[in-house]
Amino acid sequence: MEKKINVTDIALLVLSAALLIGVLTVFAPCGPKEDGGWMTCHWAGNATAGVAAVLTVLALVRLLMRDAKIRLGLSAAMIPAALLAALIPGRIIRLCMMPSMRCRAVMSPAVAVCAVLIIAAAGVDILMRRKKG
Amino acid sequence: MELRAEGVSRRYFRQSKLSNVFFAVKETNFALPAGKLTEITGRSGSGKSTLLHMLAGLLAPTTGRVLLGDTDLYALDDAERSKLRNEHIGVIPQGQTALRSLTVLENVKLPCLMYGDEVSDEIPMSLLERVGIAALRDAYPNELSGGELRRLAIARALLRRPRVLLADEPTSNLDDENTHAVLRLLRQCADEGAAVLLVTHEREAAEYADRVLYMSDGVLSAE
Amino acid sequence: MKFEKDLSVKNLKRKPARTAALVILSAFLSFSIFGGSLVVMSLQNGLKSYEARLGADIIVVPNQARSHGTVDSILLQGIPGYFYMDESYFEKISVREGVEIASPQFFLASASAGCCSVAVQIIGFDPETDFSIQPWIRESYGGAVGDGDLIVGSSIEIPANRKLVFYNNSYNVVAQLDETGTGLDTAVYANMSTIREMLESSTKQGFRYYDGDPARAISSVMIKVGDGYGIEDVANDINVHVRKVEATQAKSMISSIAGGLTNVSRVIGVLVVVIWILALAILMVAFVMISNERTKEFAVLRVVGASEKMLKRLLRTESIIISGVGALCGAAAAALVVFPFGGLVKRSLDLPYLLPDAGVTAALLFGSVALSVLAGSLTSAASARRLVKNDTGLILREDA
Repeated sequence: MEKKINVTDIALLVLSAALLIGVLTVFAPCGPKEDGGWMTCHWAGNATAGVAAVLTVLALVRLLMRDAKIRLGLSAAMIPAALLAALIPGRIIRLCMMPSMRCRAVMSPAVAVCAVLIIAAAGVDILMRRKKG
Repeated sequence: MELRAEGVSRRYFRQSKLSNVFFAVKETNFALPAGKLTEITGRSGSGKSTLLHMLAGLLAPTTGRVLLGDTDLYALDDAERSKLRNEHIGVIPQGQTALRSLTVLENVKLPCLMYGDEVSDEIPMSLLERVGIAALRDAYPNELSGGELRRLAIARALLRRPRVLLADEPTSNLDDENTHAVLRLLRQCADEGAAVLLVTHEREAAEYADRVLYMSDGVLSAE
Repeated sequence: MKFEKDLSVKNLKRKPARTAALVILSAFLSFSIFGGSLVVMSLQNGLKSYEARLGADIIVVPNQARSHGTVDSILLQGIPGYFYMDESYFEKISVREGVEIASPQFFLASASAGCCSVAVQIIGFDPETDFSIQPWIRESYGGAVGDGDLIVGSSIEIPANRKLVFYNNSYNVVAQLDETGTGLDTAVYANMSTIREMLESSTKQGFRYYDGDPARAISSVMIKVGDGYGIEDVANDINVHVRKVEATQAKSMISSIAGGLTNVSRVIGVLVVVIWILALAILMVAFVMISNERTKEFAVLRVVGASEKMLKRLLRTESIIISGVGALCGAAAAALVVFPFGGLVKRSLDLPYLLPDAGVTAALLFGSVALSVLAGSLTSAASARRLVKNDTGLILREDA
C-alpha cells in the first residue's frame, strides 16, 4: 500500500493528458480540404486521440490505485499503448504527402515526443519500483 | 602508545589595532599517557579546543611538535597524517557531526569505508549497542536527538579501536543521564588501554578522570 | 575511489531537490550547444546540397515569372509555381556566345495529388540535354526515365501501388531521390513529353496555365557557361539580347540564402553564449552557496581521517555526476526537439535544412556532452578549493 504520489505518477498523467489535449488542439492534424473532405491525417489524429484518452484513463486509475503492484502493472501497460500512439501517425495511418504540412511538421513529431516521454516516465517508474522490491 | 606535545603553541593573526597577534595556546609541553583519562577544563576561549585540534593533527602548531609514539604528526604529508588519524586517533568533535546522507550504521562505519576497508556489521553494531542506539541503525541523522547524535559520534570514534581518543565537550547540551553514560564510556576506553583526553567545562567529569588539568589564556596548568 | 563514488551518490540522493536543480542547470549547457550546433550544421549542410543540386551557372526564366511563383520559391521552399514561354526562346538563348550547355525545364503545379489538398510541384526535364537533375537521379536510380515514368523527391510519400495520378492520368513512380533539404524534396520529376501530356490533360479539364501551344512550352533554361567565359557576362548578354526573359546567376541565388544562414547562425550563436554565461554563472553561485552549507560536513570527514585529496575527489565525483547526468538529459532533450521537429524548423526558417549524417551527429553529441561536463565541473572547482583548504579546527568551533 502506498499513499505517496511521486514525480513519475504526475508525469505520466500530465504527459498523457497533454497528448490527448494537444492532438485535439495545439498539434492537431491538417484541416479539411477545400472541398470539405478530410485527409487521412485527420483520422490518424482521431485514432491518436483515442489512444491518448486510454493512456489518460490508465494514468488516472494509477493514481487512484493504492496497491504498488497494480501501479506497476499499469505503468507497464502504458508503454505499448504509448508506442501505439507514436506509430499511428505515419506508420499505421498515412499522413499527407508534403513534409511542410501540419500533420507531418507538427502533429507527428509532437506525438512522438509525448510518447517517448511517457515511455521514459513509465520505464523509470518500473525501474524504481523494482529496485525497491 | 603515548601522545606528546613538545613546546607547541598556536598563534592567530587578527585585525585589531592594539595587538594583531594573539596566542590561543602558549608554548605547552603535554603528554597523554595510555590507559589514562586526562581531563582539561577551563572557560571557553581558553585554548582547550585549539590544543585538542593540534593533538589530533587537524591544526598545525605555530611552534613545537606533536608526537604519536615516535611519529611527528606534522612532519608527515597530508595524506599520511590523515591515514594516521583515521587509524589511531579517534576524535569526538564538538556539536553534531553525523553525515546527513548516511544512515546511523553507515556513519559509524565511515572510518573504515573511507579507506575501502571491509567491515562487517558486527563491530559497528556492538558499538551502537554499547552507546544504546542500536535500534536506530537504519535511521538518518535528522531523525536523531542531540544526545543520540553525540553517542553516534562516540561509536564512530571507537570503530578503529584507536590508541588515542580525543573528546571535545562530548557532554555539552546533554541531560544528566546521558552525560554520565558518555563519561562512563570514555572511562571504559581508558581502562581498555587507550590514551583518552576529555576537554570539558563540566564539573561532573572530574570524578571519572585520572588527572585534571586547567587551561587559562592559552596556558595549561595542574589544577 | 569507490567510497567517494558511493558517498557522492548518497549525498546527491539525499538532496533530491538541490540535485535536480543543478542537473537542470547543467542540462541547459548541452541542450543549447548540441541543439544550436545541430541546427547551424543542418543549415550549412542544406546550403551545400542546394548548391550542388542547382548545378547550373545561370537560370533563365520568362519575365512574367514572378506573377506565378519564382524559381527561388519553387526550388527552395517547394511552393508550386508555373510560368511558361515558347520553345523559340530556348533556341535563341542556346546560341548565345559562352553558353556551353543549355537545357530547358518545365514546371507544372498539380491540382491535387490524390491524397492531400496541396499541390505538388512537377518538374520536367529534357533527358537529351539535362545536366542538373539527371546526375542526381543517377545517385539512386540507374535506369532511364521513360515516358510516363515519375521520379519523386525524398519527402513524397509513395502510394502502395507506386502510382500517382495527375490530371486524371496515372503515372508510375520508378524511383525516389536522396534528401536535399530543399524544396526539391517535395517535387515530382518527369521527362518533357510526360509533363507536356499532363499540361494538355489539364487544359482539357479547364485549367488555363498557358495560352500558347502546350507542345512548344518550356518554363526555364538552365545554362552551363563554357570555359573562358564570365558567368556574369553571359547572363548580361542574354538579358540585353534576348527580350522578355530574365537570366539570373545561380551564385546570386545562393548568396541570398547564405546571407540568411549567416543571420540565423549568428542569432543561434548569441543565444548559446547567453545561455552558457547565465547557466555557468548561476551554477557557480549555487556551488559557492552549497559549499558554505557544506563546510561542516567536510570538516567532519577531515576529523574522521579523509585527506585533502579525498575531499577533492569527492567534490569532483559529485560535480561530474551532476554535469554528466545534466549533459545527457540536455542532449536528449535537444534531440527530442531538433530531430522530430526538423520539418517545422525548415518551414519557419525558409532555408534549406539537411541534418548531418550519423557520424557527424555522434561526434557533435560527444563533443557537446564532453564540453558541458568539463565546463560544469570547472565551475564547482572554484568553490572546491575553498572547501578543501578550510581550517577544520575553526569550523568545528563555530557552533560551540
